[in-house]
Amino acid sequence: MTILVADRSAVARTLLRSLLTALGHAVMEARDGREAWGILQREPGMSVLIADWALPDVDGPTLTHMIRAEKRPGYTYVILLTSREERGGAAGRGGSGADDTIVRPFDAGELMARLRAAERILGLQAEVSRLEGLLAGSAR
Amino acid sequence: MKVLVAEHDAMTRWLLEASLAKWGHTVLSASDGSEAWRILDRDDAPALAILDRMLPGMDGLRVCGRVRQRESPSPPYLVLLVGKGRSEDIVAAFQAGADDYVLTPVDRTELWARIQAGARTVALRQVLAERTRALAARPTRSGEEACASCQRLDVATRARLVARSA
Repeated sequence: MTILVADRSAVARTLLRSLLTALGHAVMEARDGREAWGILQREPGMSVLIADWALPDVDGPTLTHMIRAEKRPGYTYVILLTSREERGGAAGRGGSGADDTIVRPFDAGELMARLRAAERILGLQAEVSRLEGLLAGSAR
Repeated sequence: MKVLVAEHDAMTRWLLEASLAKWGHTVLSASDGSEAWRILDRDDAPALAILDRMLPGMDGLRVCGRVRQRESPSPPYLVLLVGKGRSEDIVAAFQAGADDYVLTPVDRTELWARIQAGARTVALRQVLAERTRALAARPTRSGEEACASCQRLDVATRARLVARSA
């Protein structure tokens, strides 16, 4: 999958890039919400966005709402990185519109598990869309 | 959604049951592995099961393995409960065929997020199965294409089995 990592910290981005690359994914990076949005506009097929909840300029939840409000050709699965306090609040019950959250600090196993779930859901959604396209086609 | 909670500790089981019921799920429960397996082996098995790694009788990993060997058109989504700090159990859970895991002691928000992902996957699998059936019922080219789709799903299942045995 192609994954966009959006985090203000260069250390966090580098760590995520190395973990994701080791899992076989292609990685792009953004330092803030504005830059992430720009990349998402240029790359409409981005499968997954992993963004910090407290991203500068445009924060994670706002960025998620912008993505959801836009008619994108493919579904972008959003995972927000949060602190325990952030998730205890609005992030907890899907209030952010994100597909999933990961509480910092996290380990490689947890990241892998969250991406497995993302991949499974994206794969099923793509297959459902394909079959719906076929059904619509054959109904004509 | 029908959910099975298999946990030997009565307090933990009760907390899990209460949370799931509050979120609108129909909850079945088991206090040991053999009981969990009996429930999952039925034709009307729950769509999702939360299995403790350390179940008496038959442990969670063995229940997982058995469920995955069982031929079923709609296999359940399996979430294993794994003790914090036991990362080797997480690897073992995935190898046994678990779809996801939750660390114990269970954080309610975390559990909610994991159940959400599970429910979404279960719903998508159902839609996919319906669409495949609808297409296969048509004696046209799309019927053949739907069969190709079934085969692809089989390939995915096979790949998972290969990955598990590796």
